[in-house]
Amino acid sequence: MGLTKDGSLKIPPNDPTFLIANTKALSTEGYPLDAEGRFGTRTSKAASELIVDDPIKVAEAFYRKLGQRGVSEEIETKYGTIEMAVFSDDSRVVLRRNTKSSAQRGTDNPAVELQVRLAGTEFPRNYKLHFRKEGE
Amino acid sequence: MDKNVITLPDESLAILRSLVGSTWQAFGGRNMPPRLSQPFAVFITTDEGDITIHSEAGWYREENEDVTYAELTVAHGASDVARSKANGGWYPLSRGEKIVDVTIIRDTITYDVDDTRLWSTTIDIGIIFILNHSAIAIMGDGYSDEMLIVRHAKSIENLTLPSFSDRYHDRLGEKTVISRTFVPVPPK
Repeated sequence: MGLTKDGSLKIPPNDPTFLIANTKALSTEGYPLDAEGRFGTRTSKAASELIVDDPIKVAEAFYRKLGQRGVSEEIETKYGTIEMAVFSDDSRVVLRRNTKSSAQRGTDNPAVELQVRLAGTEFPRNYKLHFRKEGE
Repeated sequence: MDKNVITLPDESLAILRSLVGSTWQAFGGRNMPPRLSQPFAVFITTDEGDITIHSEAGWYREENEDVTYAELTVAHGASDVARSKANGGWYPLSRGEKIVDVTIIRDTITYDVDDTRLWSTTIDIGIIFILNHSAIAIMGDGYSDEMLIVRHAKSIENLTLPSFSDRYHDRLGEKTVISRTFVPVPPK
């Protein structure tokens, strides 16, 4: 972030404040944040889960909304395609359509991971949100 | 207790060992910006060949959950060189210096609840190339995803390497401890 010639603030197109704004916007669309600022229900120190009817569809929608204005990269790995939206301070949102347990069970249990670098925000720095159907 | 050990494979160590004595030319990534970060792969070029450091997440178990840790591997070759030169991701810092030594950055994370250990993970998080007038570290920007960062300094003592302790927030009764060691690449 810097000053333009006319003295106004110049914000990079992928400034991390957009990630915070994206998170807040999504939290008003039927996916409230818990007391720690996470989506879903906490299942461990670094993970939460969201029970939904269509895990892939909802995970992709989470990734698109949270990663909006981030610079997106994708790569094929042994666990399938990973997509990563990166903001200018290296905060990022990662979509993993397949997980180890989904591969073992033959179910769709994608995950979206958040790495928030921005200091002073009320959001947790690092957690993974698993999406699964009830009973899977 | 879940215990994970994620260290560089022998093939990667052999490649790193073979670089000692060669002349450094550059590092980079296909779109690496000036803040020197790049997901998935960073290459280095030397007078005796190019290598690429890859970061790929693998799945592990902690607290009955699937978790990812980014696993580092080293391979011969660097397919992103031409693209990085075209896109500004080519950094000829320390060009012409000899590679004197290579050291691994190894972190151990332990997680206790009410004084009971629930998991521990030891992971090779980065690689430091010690050159005759500088040092260059290529390391993960955290443990769980594939982002890599590069740090450059006049010596290994002057390298500013991130610690990731601020990414864990302990609740009452929880205790997460991260310890770091520097391990020279072992001889053959």
